[in-house]
Amino acid sequence: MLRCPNCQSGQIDGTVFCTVCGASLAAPVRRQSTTLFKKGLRPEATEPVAMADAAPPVAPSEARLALYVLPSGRQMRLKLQEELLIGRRDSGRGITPDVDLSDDGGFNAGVSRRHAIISWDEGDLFVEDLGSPNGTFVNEQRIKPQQRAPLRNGDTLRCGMLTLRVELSP
Amino acid sequence: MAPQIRLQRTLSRAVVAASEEPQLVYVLLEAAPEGLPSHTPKLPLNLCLLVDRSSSMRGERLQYVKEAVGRIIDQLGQDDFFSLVTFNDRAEVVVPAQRVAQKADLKRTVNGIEAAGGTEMAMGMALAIQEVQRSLLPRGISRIMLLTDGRTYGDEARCVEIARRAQDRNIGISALGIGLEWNEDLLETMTARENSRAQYITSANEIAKVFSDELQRMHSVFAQRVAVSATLRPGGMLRSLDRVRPFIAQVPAIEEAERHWTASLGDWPDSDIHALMFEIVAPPLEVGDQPLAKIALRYDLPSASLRNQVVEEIIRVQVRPPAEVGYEVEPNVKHWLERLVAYRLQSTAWQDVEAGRIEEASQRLQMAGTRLFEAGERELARTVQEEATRLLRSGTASDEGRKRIRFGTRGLISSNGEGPASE
Repeated sequence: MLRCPNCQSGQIDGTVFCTVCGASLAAPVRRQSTTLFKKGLRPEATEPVAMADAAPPVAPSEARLALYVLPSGRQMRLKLQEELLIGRRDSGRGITPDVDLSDDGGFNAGVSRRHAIISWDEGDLFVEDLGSPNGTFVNEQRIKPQQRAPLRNGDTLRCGMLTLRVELSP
Repeated sequence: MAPQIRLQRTLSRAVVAASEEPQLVYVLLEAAPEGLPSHTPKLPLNLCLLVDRSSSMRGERLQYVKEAVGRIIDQLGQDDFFSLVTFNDRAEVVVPAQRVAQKADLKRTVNGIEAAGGTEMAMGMALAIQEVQRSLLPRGISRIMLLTDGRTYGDEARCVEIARRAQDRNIGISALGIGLEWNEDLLETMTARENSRAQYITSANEIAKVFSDELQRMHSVFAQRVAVSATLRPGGMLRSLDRVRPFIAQVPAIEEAERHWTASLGDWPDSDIHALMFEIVAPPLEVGDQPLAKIALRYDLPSASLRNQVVEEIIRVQVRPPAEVGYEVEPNVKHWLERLVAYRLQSTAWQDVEAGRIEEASQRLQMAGTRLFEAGERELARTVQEEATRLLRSGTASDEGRKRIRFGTRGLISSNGEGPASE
């Protein structure tokens, strides 16, 4: 992973121009450090980022879901409902996703209009890729399209090239 | 030598580092015809001109259009079909689809066109597609050439729908916008498919040149039904596919089977140079000579009566230990990436403007200016930076700057010799 020197977003190795801000990455760039959030945009600046295996168990009945868009540091608090659509809005086609990544560079990052669905089923969280061309990844493993894959607190969820972090909190 | 299309591919980096992480490899694929007979017979053309005759076209614009149409009529051959539809508040078939025989009579009819009224494009589009379909050629090129200077209201969705219907039947659309009033979103959307393009004409005296360049392009088609496919090694992903020459446009690629993407590219004129940029995410690679992808181009060569020709290219990367690998990016790939990134940045900037994020929009335009400057597009870079400053000061971009940037970054602008010809 590279770190864009201009906007601090994480970029895949070999990237020549940052997909978020367009800055040149062709010169040597320090490899990514351990902190994933932009300074100042980190929601809890003092707390280290939770690792997937260190994630505390969560009481499902009162769980709340938050998604952090890692390149921009934007945070979305979501009410858990049966299904949440992730994608990019397209008013022409009447698509208004619950998790709208249009303003996070979603287009350039290869997020589809209807990319994936997060579902909440009897206390468990799942994600299902809707056959998006650029794929959905949980902890960097591509998940099979049209099949639910489990999603846990602390997981990274990548839609195309846009990485989100999942936080389920009691 | 049998006629064929020759491929040339260039990687962003000739040597990449062995890594346990995925990495991005850019592949520039250039394609050129080879071994074609020097006098390939022209494919018959079925052309409908669709001309805006709203009151704003009155005067020099319409005069130039008439001259341009006259020249087109002169250049059409006896196998070509021609029709002319005009629109203002209503649409009218001025010249029904016919073989071009009585050229003087046709020109007299065209000279009788008068400008008045408003702009309602969809009805014009509907009549144009109807005229083209009257004489659909079994082999040949069917096109609608649209010229407008105005904004159509309320029927935009219908315009796009009719354009898609035409494109589904292999009828391409060239949309030419003149002046500052026309709706660039609409023309871009209408032409975001194969065999179609939108262009910005900045001054009326360019009309004849643009018309005849378009006609020349249609007459010089050497390959038809061109389609590209990419099959990646396990773990690989095609992150994006864009056309970079003759003009920049995202190419929608469909993942037809696992790790196998395809995209349709339409007809290719030999007056253009054709190049595509693939952004491929490679899985972790070990030291050695590693195959990354197989890229194949499928096409017909109508002049040589060859169908379903295939040319393939195996893309391999040299993987070395990280310490032996530099950071240099191949200059030609870098140049086209600069242009592509500038195009994407300005495109996101206009979305930012619409959402009221003026500062972000201005920053993106600034960065687009930097990219263009480094790509050697100095004049366009200055225009972009001026608009970035204007945005910050006044909160809006100028109509002209916006059109120049949108079409200039794609290489689709025509004014006094600038634009695609200067590539």
